[in-house]
Amino acid sequence: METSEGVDVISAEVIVGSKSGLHARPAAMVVALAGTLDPPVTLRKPDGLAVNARSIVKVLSQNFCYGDLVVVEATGDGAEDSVREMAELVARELEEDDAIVDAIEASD
Amino acid sequence: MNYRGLGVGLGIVVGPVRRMFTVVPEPADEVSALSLKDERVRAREALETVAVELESRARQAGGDAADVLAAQAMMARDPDVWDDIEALLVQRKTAEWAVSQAFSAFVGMLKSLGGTQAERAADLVDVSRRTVAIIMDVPYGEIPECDEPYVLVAEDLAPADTAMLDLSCVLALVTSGGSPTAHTAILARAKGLVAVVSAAGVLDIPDGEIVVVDAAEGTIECAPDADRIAEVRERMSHEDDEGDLSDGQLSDGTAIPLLANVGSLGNVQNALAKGAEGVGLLRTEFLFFEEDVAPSVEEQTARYREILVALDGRKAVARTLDAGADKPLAFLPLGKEDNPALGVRGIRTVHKHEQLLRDQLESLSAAGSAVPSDLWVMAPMVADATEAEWFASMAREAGIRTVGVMIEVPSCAVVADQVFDAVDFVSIGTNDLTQYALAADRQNGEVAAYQDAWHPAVLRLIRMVGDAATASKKPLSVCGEAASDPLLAVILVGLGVTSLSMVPNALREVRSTLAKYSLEEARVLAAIALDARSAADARSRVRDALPRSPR
Repeated sequence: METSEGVDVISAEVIVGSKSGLHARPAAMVVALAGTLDPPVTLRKPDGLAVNARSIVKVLSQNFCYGDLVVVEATGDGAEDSVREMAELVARELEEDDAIVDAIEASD
Repeated sequence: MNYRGLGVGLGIVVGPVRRMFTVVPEPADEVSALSLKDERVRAREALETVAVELESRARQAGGDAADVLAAQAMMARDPDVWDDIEALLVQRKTAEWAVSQAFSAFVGMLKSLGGTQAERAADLVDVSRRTVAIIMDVPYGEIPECDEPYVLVAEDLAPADTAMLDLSCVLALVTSGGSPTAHTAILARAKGLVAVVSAAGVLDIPDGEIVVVDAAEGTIECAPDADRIAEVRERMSHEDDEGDLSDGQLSDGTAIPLLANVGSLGNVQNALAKGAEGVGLLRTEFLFFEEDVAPSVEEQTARYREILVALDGRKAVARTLDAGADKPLAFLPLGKEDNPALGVRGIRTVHKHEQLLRDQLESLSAAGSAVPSDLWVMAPMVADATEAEWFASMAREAGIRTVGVMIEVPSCAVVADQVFDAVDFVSIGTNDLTQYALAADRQNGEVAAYQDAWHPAVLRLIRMVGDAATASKKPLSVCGEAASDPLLAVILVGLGVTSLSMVPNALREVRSTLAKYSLEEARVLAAIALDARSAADARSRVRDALPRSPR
């Protein structure tokens, strides 16, 4: 995770760690965390527009896939903490083990 | 008036119709007669009601359905969607129009992304309709009250619709839309419900009308007479029996052993209770998935032994570790692949990690000789005879007596005669064989329609393997999903397959269907399917060729 400080925007670049991308369950987990973060964070692709991480339709609409680079940003007091927490979540594999087992069960 | 659709399974029921409405009227674009404040309250309260209801369903549903429902609740509470709704309300639009418009903009965006995002688009449509129905006070997705068992009739069923259904009160699922591979059909198979999908016009049947739903025929009969009702009731009363647990055989007495696909010890008990004659696919991955390091030979031996003991001498076909970039293991770094289905997968993963396979073979062999058992071992994703020979020599070196390979890669089917020279048996994995034959990634929803083992190209590949099996007089099994489709199971036997392995819940219908046909009849039906032009054409030609069941 690389952190850089702009004028007053705190940002971090992170690679999506969930095999299924930020779709379905991982997207819901990102939105659930975003709802608890103050100041709020935005997510964007390196060349894309920032979207509100509290909006599930916006997060889904960005189609963040496994291995994609995501820029997490926030401004204001406590922005470092918000960005760090979100970046850590995005980097994790958010599909449960049993989801993987289900995928295997269906795969022959 | 009767209706016709595509039946799922073979059951038959009679009961009253209850319709579930899964569409709502389109709101009109008109100037609101209410104050901005009142419209805001209508929209806000409806969204909140929907969110609360979806959350409560999520808590009761569990599993994957819970995840979908929880994400839908978030959609109803989405702050950015609300901003768009409010912007429309400020323009003096009605709450129902504003909600419908705001959601539909995002629906279009998600649909354009395709794949899993398109499935989320369907979830968003559902949230929008639920909200609009509350604002407009019209029925939507209401679960019929359960006073007596009923035939549920709907346009189509989404996971959100079925998650809360009291299925003990549902006799049958009938939909005007949907397909045999979509959610309704999957639900029906999993829950053992009678279902007919794609039955155009059924929403015209009024609530309370008594109908006969016959899945084997794919029909919905309205206004059946008293004799017909009594006959169907009589047949329904036998459905509840545990049924016949006899060994699989054709009408001419040809034995077709029916085995189960299992992934854990617990599944073995369930399979035996449903009359499985053994295990035709033991997925050994369950030992490896939750581990940070590969389990030791001792641990593996103990686990395999438990399963062999539970099987008490019955046949057990173990598949060696099947991992890949799409089925990752913590201790086996495979890296990211652009095209995991065509990458390092199945037996290919162990070329670089040979010790992993040697340990597994040693464990299986030790477990097999420690208890009375009939252990067969096969490798997944083998591409040709050379790879089959490589595996067979390693397995025999480890002391495995009956060695086979899975045929999932078309190249292996084409050279099946050479492959049979190298091994004692073959098992066909029809899901992967279909994905590779039709060049359609199973993980990509956009090409899901290609994933159908009824396709004559897939059946012709299976025939090549069947001919090779017959020539070599060696056993040929199918352990893919195709084996659990009763009619397709008959076709497979007609193509030379000598045993079938499937999910335990499918055993009963496959057993009873096989018993209706002789080997000669199965061959005739197989020949009809091989001549078809598409999977759908194969299904309909074979159905048309079946003798009509007597009334």
